[in-house]
Amino acid sequence: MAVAPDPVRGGLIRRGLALLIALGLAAWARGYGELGGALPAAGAVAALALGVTLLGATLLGALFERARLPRVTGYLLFGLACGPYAWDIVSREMAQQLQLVNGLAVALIAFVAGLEIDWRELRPRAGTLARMGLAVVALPAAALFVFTWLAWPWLPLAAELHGSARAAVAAMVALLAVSFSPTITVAVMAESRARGPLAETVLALVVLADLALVVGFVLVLQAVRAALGAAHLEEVGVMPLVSWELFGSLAFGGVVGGLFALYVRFVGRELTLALLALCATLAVLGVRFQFEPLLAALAAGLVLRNLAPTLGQRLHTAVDHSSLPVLVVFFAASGAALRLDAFVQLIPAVLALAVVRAAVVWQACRWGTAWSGLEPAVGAGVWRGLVSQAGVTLGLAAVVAGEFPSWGERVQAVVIGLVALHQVVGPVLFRRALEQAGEVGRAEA
Amino acid sequence: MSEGASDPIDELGVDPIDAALETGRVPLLSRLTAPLRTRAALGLEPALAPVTLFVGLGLALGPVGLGALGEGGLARLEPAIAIATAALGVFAGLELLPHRGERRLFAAASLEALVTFAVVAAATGFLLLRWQLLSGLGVGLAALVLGLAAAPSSAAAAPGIGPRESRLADLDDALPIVVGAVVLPAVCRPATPPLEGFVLTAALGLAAAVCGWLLLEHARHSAERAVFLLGTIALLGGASASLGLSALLAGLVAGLSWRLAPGGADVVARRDLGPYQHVLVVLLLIVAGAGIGTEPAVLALGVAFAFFRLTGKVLGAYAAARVVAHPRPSTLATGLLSPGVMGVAFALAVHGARPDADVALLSGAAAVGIALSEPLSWLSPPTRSAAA
Repeated sequence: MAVAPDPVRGGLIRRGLALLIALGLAAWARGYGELGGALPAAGAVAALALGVTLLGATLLGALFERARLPRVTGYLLFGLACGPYAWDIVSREMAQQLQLVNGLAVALIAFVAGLEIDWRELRPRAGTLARMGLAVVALPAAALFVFTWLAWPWLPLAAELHGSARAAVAAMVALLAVSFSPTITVAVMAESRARGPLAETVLALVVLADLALVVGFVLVLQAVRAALGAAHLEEVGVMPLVSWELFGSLAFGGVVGGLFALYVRFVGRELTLALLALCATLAVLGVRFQFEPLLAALAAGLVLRNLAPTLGQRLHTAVDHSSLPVLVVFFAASGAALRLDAFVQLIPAVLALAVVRAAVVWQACRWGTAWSGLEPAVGAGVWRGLVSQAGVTLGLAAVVAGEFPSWGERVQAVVIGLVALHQVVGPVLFRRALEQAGEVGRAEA
Repeated sequence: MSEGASDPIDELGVDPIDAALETGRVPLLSRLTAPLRTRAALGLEPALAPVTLFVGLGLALGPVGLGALGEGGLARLEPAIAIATAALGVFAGLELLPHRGERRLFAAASLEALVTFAVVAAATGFLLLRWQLLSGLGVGLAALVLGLAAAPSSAAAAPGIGPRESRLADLDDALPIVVGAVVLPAVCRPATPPLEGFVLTAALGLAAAVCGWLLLEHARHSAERAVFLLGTIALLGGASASLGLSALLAGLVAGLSWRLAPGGADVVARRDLGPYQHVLVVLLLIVAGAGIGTEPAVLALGVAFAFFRLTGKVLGAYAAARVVAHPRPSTLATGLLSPGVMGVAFALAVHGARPDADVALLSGAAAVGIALSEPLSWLSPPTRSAAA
């Protein structure tokens, strides 16, 4: 009796074989290249890393999706497993080359987030969202500050600091620990094609929280500088700095978004490439002019969605085609950059902060839901969308480590540990919440 | 081929760049380049190809010109160059297989490429020996590099250039790519036996082709398929460049394998990669232009390269015309004068694998020569119609 081939099993075998070939080729290229004596050019290494990451992480992400887990977690774990701190198929140099895509990825993700926010739909709920946002940012930040202050002697951060310096650094740690991830939120929504009240609420909250985080970080950084005698507030000029970064970014993004709308309207060709070029422009020029690329890209997306909604619709295919490879590389590179050795040493501190953070975010969501008047069914799932942390947090931690190397590197290590944990756990929790809310797949309808 | 038995040439037609310029598929670009094609509009073919335009643009943007594309920018584009080179190889592989009745055309194309290669290599080798321009690289290898950069042609879309001439220009890429896979490892990894480099390149292309074949046809959606295709080509380009092997041959082997393998991997690759061909070509030409140095030796060797290439192409066309019994060898020569981007890609690959002053001189001279080749082709006698 003839047995029909099992298409699922056949697909898995086919994909497994392809994964083995890709990994084998990458390992061979590295090994044989080293035998030859001459070091390959950085560009060659970057292309090789890009190839093996795109194939490997996409295949693992698809496998995770089959197991009803987020693809993003698969991308991260591929980077972690094949990165320089584990199997070392993606070497340290290759992982560094992959980081080049980070700026582009953050801009693209923020642009997509902006495209998803329809002000006309959100306006009736603006008060509710503002109150909920205040609750989920202020309460956890305050609670984490108190926890960090009290647990200071036992945390491996900066035991040598006392008084106002300790308070300022504790506030900074609390702020970094409480931060959320628009990146992962958008990525999980995009890959699960989710749409609905929970998805929209979580997205709006993490975007609001990110805005608050950037502003708060700049203020707290000045406070730390002042407490440590590194600079005086009046010399630095906090408000101009914050205003430039905040309003300048929004204005710059708005102008670029308007120009892109004109391109879509009057040219309308090669939208995938044009979108990638837009995000590269926002990332490169944003850094050059000290704008926050995330805010600028968010503003560009908002302008396109809200001033020219029909043009935003035309971008869907371009977004689909450009976001997948960028997200794959971004998350795999993030996974490859996570220092497992540092994480192992800091497990107790990281776990303690993570448990406190989860508890206070959960409690803040309960109180916030009651205070803001958010629908209880939606409010019950919000906390699971707020667990993830990602790139922006890592970027801010890198700023701290760069400016205060004596203790900043320890703060950075703890933050990296927190982000590693939440990057793996957060997408799974958010995806589950979206499934329970029945919002997965509704964006296709 | 899963989508019927349609002829891929029918599906693709002439070079998409030329087609785009001719049919107005890129209206803005067409408008900009229209004044440059006045001769073509008057029937005085061939037209000024985008090669000249974009190499010139690269020169203007590069360190020698405005500096907008400086050393840092060029370094950032290195991964894209490796990937673009492999993609061009894939395009060549997808088009390589001669159709029924094209064996003689293929032989004629290879003969024409061989003659051009020999003429340019011998003449530039002589000049390099006389002028003593090289400090470390052997004159023989340097001459081979220049000969290989000169050999490919692109299918000109000017009136009077018929499908046979265009097809011949398509097929003359094969020999330079194959020989280049032996020369490239010899230039950048002298300790490796040349044949070993060739075999490794072919094995690499085959392995990546199997990887892509397993994935391309069974992707769940178009975005995933695009990622698989990009990943496979990046793997091809990155692994080749890391090992100092020819990404063009690796890509050619992959493209040919997809064409021969059961299933529709070739159709998928052609459909998904096709829209980016123009962008990749423009990228290569701009980077080649930006890499041109200011040394007088670069200009002198580039001018000589262009004249020797012209000579080689004319001689090659006459030799090829005898093989395919072409009634008008001059028309055939006119159709082969447009410089092929494969030559630019090869020169860039050599420079990427061995970025020293000698190779910079060669790649710069090749870029200058290729940019000059198109205007030089105006000197050839105008032809009313290839069909005549």
